Amino acid sequence: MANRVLIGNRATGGHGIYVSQNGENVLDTTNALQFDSRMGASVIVHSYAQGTITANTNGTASASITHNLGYNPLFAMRWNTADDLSGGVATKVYTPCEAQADYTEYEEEEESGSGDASFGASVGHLNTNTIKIINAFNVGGDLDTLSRPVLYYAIVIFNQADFTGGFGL
Amino acid sequence: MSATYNIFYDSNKEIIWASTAPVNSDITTAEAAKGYTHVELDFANIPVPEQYYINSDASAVATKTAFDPTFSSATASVDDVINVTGIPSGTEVFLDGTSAGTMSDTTLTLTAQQGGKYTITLKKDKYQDYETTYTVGRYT
Repeated sequence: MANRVLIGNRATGGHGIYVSQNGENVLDTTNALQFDSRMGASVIVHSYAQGTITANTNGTASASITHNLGYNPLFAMRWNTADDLSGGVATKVYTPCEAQADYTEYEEEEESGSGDASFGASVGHLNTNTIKIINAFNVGGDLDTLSRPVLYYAIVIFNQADFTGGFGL
Repeated sequence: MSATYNIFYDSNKEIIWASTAPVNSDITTAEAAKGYTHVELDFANIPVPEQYYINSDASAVATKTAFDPTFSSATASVDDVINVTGIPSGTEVFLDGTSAGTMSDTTLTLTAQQGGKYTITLKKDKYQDYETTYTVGRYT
């Protein structure tokens, strides 16, 4: 039977109380833990922000969120577009994700156009004082006339050090 | 409740990105290198770039004008001529996502050559993008 509970100094995470998922060894599992005292002790909001990012056409439009903590903090970012806003309030939000699509258009069995597009949002630590949010909208080929969508985002930054590897909650 | 937004805008006064988070000199310098100018403004609601742009002296936002085109008919048959009036000069017209040119006057004249549904998009600086679907039926 796997070790499930650890009170002490864990190789990854340091001193604390840890409980692993059923069948996982709490000492060395790389999967998500069932309980991690670092969360219980330190989920204190450092700051929060919201804003907008207008897309360009190459997936590099971004916003820089400063926290000046001097280390990579835990964060949670959610986003949407104008379609999911009502009176300036979000009716639906998404976790960071990106989707890609390719298309080819035919007229009378002859290829008449093609292109590709990416859509979504990503987030990560730019450095130990700043988090970068990217509007991943990116178009190529015949899709470069598409309207550039505006990404609406909200982010909460915690005092806890980021144990998610930069993915966020 | 209003909030203070740090806003970066381009040479056309379009809002590129905005945030209630503070910005430091590293960020303003990096954004300036991209051609974006920084301004700090208070808003009751989030500054929606589709609806607003930065005014001439960067003291506030201004509301983008909404297109109000009038179609000579709600739908058309093949070979009909459709006149769309009330479009300001300088508007770029897109048909099914492809640019069909920029208006030099205020009336757009379309001839329906093939049945189907067409997406008509109008774009102009300081205007909210306008998009509608127009149906061309078969011969009646």
